Amino acid sequence: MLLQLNNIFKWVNSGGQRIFLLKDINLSVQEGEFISIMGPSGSGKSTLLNVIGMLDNFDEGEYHFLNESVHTLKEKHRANLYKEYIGFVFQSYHLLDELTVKENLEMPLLYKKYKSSERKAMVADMLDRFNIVGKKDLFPAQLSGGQQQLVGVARALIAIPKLILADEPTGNLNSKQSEEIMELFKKLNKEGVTIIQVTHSEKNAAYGSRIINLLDGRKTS
Amino acid sequence: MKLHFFKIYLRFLLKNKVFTLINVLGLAIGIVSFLILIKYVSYQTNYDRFFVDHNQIYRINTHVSKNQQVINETATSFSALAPTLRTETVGVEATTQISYEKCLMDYREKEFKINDLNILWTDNSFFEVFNLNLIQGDKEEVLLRPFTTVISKATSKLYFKNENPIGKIINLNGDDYPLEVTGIFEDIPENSHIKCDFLVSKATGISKGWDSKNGNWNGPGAYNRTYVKLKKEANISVFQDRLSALLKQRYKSKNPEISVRLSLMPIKDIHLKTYFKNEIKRPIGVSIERLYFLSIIAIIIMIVAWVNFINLTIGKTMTRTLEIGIKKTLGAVKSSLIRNFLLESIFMSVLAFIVAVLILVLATLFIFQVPELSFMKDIWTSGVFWFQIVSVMLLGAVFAGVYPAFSLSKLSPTKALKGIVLQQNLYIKKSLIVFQFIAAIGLILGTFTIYDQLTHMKDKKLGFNASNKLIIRAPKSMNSHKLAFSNIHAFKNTVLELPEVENVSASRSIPGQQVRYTSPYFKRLGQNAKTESESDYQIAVIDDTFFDTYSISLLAGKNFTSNYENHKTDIIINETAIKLLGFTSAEEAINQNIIGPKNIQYTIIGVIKDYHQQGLKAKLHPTIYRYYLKYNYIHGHYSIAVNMEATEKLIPAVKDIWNTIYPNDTFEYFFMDDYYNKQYALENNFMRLFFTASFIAILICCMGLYGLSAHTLLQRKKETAIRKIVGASVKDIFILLVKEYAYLILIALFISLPISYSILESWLSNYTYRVNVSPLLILVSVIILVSVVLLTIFKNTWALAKRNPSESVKV
Repeated sequence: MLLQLNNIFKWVNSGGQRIFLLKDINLSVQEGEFISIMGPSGSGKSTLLNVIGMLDNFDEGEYHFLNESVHTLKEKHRANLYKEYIGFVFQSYHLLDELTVKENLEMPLLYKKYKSSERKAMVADMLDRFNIVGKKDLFPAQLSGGQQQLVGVARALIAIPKLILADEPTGNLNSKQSEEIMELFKKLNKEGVTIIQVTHSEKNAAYGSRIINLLDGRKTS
Repeated sequence: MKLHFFKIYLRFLLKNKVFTLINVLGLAIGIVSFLILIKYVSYQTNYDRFFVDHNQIYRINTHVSKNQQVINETATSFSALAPTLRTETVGVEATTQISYEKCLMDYREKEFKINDLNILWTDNSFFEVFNLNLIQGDKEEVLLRPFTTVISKATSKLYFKNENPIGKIINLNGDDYPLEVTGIFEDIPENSHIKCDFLVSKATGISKGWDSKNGNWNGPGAYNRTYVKLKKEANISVFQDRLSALLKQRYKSKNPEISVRLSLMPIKDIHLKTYFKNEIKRPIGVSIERLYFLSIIAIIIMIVAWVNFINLTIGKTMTRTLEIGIKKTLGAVKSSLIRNFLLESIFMSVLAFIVAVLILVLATLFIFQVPELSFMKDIWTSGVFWFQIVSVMLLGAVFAGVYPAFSLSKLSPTKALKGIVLQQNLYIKKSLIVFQFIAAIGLILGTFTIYDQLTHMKDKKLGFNASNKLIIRAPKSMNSHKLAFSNIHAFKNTVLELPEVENVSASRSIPGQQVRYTSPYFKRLGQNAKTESESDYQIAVIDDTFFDTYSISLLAGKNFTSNYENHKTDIIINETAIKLLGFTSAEEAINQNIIGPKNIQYTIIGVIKDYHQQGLKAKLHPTIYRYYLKYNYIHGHYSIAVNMEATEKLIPAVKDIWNTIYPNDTFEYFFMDDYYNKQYALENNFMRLFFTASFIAILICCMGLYGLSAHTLLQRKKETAIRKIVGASVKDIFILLVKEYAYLILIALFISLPISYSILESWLSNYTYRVNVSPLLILVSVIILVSVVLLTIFKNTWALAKRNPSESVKV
């Protein structure tokens, strides 16, 4: 078991009313799964993903990640936990504009205790694996969207996470680029990485092994 | 900071060049201005603190009263005081006497001479009071024999280069005073009131007969200053009492109306607190009040610069939320983000620091050479200075770093990732801007008002004509020389033959100078002097052509004639003196007799219209003009009235005449109008300083405003887009945005105007002839501020108002 959510609630208070963003979510994810979260706008897909990624809090319920009870952890410990085990991929890539491809890849390693020589080796390895050695000194603005997302995925993978969380990873890409990224995910999943993605597209969802549907913060399937 | 994070920041700075430039430059300019001002203030307040035991050293001042009214307060005292005190043991460790003179010092062996060097006449007790090291010579032995001198290290370098000066002869003011060098003392710093080049033995004067060993109790005179060094444990008030008792016992006033009191002044207070006549070094343009002013201005500039730095840094950092979000998802914890922000802001300050140091280096090379800025020379070796510069830098860094560091680092990653531009705390931001406006208004108004006062003083009718007057300083070698008098006539007559010369006059003092000789002992024959307006009369010594040379008009009676022998007891007086003596009109005074010092009877032969001898900062003094007489004459200046505009063209011709008549003296000249206006050097300096300070403050304010308006553009683009969609015009939006600044200016005006008004009024109240803070100038200052603000914000604000709503509303 990689993670388990039990009766998760998240809400905001607005005008004296409690509006639920997540309502009684139960979910367990095994290692090696490839899950797609689907649902209309505002159904809570991204919120759920953020909760799983520990970027966001929830108001009620229990969250177990590996053997840790996330709901009892302080921010600093949570950060340590997710930086160790989780990699994030975003719809708008969120690469740092001021850094080159190589430097962007190195970023996550800086927050862990890797030596400089190790970092160099890991970055070189990743550039190689994603076939972007020739682009290592370019800045994000000099790359196409597909290439930027490739770097984004590489960055998410570089610290060898157990879980990859992807929020509409192909939302800003054309169909060909989308397909490449999804193929990449499929390949990574086969290599043993657990993936949870949020998507609108049935086609992308089909790459996964399981689909979770959300409506108004509730799990419908 | 790991190299990586540093790289991000560096590239961020390079990408935002304008931001970086104005931020760094603004802070650097602020730091430099602040430090220069503070350094100046500390230079002035540390006067005479160079002497380790300055706390024990006092100068004795004399206060002379007539009928309980103080008429003369002088830094000099009885010549018998020091010799008497030496025999007293109560609390006195050492006592010394100093006379001061500016002399021509001539090293004839190498034909090297310099005029106007500072000479102190004293003996070796000088070293008992002032703890100065002798580099050569023995403190016990120097300055005892007549015709000996001890010179400063700098003087020794100047005159003797690498030669050994001991035993060499330097002539003081011509032939009569050949002085043997017997020692070298370490240099006294510039900021000491006894800064001098030569110490000459008192025994010289005694052997010449014009000084005496034991002195007298006649009066304080104008020459002799007494210094005492009290014992460490001595009680100052006990000593003061002892001094009063001593005075009572020794001094017998010849005139029952006159009484004398002695007071003690710590030497460290002399420079800033003196109000005494006959100071060795008259402090020009400094007073504690002005130093306060300067410190306040310094602090205002520094705060404005910091405020600017903080506002800009915060504003810009607030746009970096996305970066924070990304870093957080990659595992950055709060503490590492905080550390990052602080280091970044320290880095920025270090940049500013480097720029500031560069500015200082350039300034040292080019600007600090000016004598007025010589106090900046030692900054590179001054520990205090570096401590100040580093603390100023770090303080700014922390101020600017803390706010964004803590507000941004606590941001949740999901919010940060949306890339929103954070709203800063508006209160802080707005009050910072209001503060800048307050400072700007005050400084602009201050500049104008000082300028107004200055032109008022320069333009006022002075009562004499200062233009086209060539002034030559009297020949030093002629002091008490037997040819002095005939040479004056020879020089005057020869110069008068030049076709361009209208008049030549020789006089002791010239307009723009304090008349050094004063006496309270004048009254009308057979009458008591009026008691309610007791005052010292100035005694000016002139010749028959002085009034004509300066176009000073005679109200009644007649001028002196060229035959001075006829005028031994004749005097001419001014209007103020007439009133003081109790005459109702100028005509009434003519041919009346008055009694002067030593009961000598004088006849008033003429009355002149008052003129401003000492500029408009001083009151008009009652003045008595006497024709110079052979035996008591000390020549001060030649004044030459020229009938053409380009007075300087005459110089070569006059110089030729000078060289034939005075071959041993240096020819030194200046122009009356320049010289007279130098009295306003303080105001001129102050105005320049105010102007520069306001300019810098406003410049920094503008930089800040510009950066801020760019930031507002980001913050309000959505709001303005929506307003436009629902029908607002470009004009509406523009007015809406400008209004925000208008409020701030209004608040600033309400706070600033009353404060600046009252400060400036109190400053102006120091002047006898003053202007008021003019409403017109207030209006102009406000207009200037408003236009500068509008110009600064226009570009960004207009761009925002014109923006196409579809570009913004998506965000």
